[in-house]
Amino acid sequence: MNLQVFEVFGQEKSGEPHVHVGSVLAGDVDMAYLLAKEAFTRRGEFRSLWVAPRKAMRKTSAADAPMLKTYTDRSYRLGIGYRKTVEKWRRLQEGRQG
Amino acid sequence: MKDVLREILLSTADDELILGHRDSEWTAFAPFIEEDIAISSLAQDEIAHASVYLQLLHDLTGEDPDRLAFLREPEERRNAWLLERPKGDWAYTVVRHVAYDLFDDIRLRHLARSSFRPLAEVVERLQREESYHLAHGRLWLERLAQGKGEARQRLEKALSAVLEDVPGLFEEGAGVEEAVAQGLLPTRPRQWWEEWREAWGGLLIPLGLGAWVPEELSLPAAPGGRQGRHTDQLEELLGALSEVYRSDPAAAW
Amino acid sequence: MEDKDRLLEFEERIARGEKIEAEDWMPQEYRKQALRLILTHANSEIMGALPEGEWITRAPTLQRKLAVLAKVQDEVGHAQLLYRVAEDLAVPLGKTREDFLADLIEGRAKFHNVFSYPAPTWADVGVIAFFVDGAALVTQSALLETSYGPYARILKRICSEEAVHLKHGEDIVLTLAGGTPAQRAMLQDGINRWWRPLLHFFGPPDQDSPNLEQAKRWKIRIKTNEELRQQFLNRYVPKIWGMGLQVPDPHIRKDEDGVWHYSDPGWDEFWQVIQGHGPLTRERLALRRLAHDGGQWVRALLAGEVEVA
Repeated sequence: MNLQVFEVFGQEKSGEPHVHVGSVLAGDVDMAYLLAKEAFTRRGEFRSLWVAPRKAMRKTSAADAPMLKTYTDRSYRLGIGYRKTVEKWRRLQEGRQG
Repeated sequence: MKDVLREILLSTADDELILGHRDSEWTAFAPFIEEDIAISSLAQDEIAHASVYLQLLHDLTGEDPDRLAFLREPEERRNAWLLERPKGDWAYTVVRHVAYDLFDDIRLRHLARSSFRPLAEVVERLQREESYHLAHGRLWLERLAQGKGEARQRLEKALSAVLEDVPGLFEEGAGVEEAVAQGLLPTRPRQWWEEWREAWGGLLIPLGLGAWVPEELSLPAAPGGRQGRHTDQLEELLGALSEVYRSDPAAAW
Repeated sequence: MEDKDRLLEFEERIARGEKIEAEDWMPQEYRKQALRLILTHANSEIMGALPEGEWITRAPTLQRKLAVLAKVQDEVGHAQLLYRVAEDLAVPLGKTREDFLADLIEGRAKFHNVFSYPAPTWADVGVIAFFVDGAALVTQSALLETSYGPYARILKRICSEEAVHLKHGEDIVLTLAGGTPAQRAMLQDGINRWWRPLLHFFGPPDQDSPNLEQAKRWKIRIKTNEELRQQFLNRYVPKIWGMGLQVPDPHIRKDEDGVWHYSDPGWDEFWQVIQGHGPLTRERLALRRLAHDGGQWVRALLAGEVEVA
């Protein structure tokens, strides 16, 4: 007789994201929600809770973890890839003065 | 006026204290761990509410809330019998809670209009916590009603047992006429029955449990809890409740 | 990848201070050891609810009643967090919470020695919350750096709640210490009875602890039994003296290097208790079984395994 696993996400303050806080066993999502309230916010830690059946979620496994990494230069997607603009401004301004 | 208010506050406080005590007997013994945490919260809410009412009484008469909670004899207690029954099985616990929570919800709505302002103000806060109790009870009642076999048998047995004690909730203690005349109680408890019956029916009928919706309020002929007459089950409960306090009521604990 | 390479990579990750997650590859032995540690903790929380639970109905003021109730609720809450972590770790082994609880009530699983002892007076509630939870907090704080991520995460919450329990226990203990002669005597009696189980709580001297070396290498555990016991003595002996009470050991002293010396508590009783022969092990497990069996029909109903009428 195994109950299902439900993942629980809580939001501490208005405007902040819901983050994973743990999981509960329950028979269905409505019960999981009511039980999660007492399991995770008996001291008023969260102002909002989300509850979802684990079987409806997909998680990164050890096997597909490599998929989440990048293997070639992706600096063009990051600010750090454009550090030369400082140098370019300098040279441009020197050229105009000279 | 003090005596009349005292009766109102004591019956409300005692209902909550005794039910909270019974709920707390589930702590570490509930059907599964997640629910264990939830029922322990219900128990805390009930006991905390009792404590609020006793504090109001303290402000009125100077009586010590702990002394009131721990040292009164059974005949000074005003809770209805429904609340002093042993915790029973999970079906009984759920059904008793739902029956009582609906009653309490109605009582709170009426008390919110009491001419005694401190009570009316307190009630507004307590109503919010009770809403979780109703949601919790309703959900469990639905789940139990879906069951067959053992679960169904237990549910039916619990419904019958609880319904025998429900009228006792509406029993009127001393001074009710005076309380109503002064607006301390906006309405008589027995007038709450129709509201309760409607709410109870509204829950049970869609679940196919219409056979357990009583028509009439049949108040027992003999006095019950609201008039200080109790079962042995309360005495047993008070034996545990007061054990340490009674060992030295003058000591600080 | 070969298991040998995986093991190498795994140990490198641990050495770098990375945390291991439930989905990650881990050596069988790591899984087994982490599971054993977490389950012992989980079982201890659920069994620990019983001695104090007996006092919820008897607590002597409304405030105490609420506080003891909330504290025991937290213990059950810790068990919930811990069993969930253990359940996820045990997925590849095909074990579920039902299996863990069956192992516990059948006497096949371990829990901390202290929860096999009686709690006959109200003072025990204070002693358990202040001293036993204090001992638990010493061991659990030492585990905050554990390499198993899900355990480390819930330990943060557990430790912060335990710190509140300590305050609650301290308040009870101080009230009794400052109370009537009968209350003081009750407290001293409680300390006397719990002293030896408390020394035992941290486990035997380290040379007798078989799994420690590997557990430390994999950062499942961080400190040795004796290091933890010393921390406890250092924190709590002065508190007992500070209340004007006796430590029930005539030889207790701290030397100039800050090392506590104490009489050998004798380890036969510890092994007896751990192997299921504590003073109340059988009775407490029977209570646990009562709860478990009594709830069976409810769990079956929720799991959709209802019998047909």
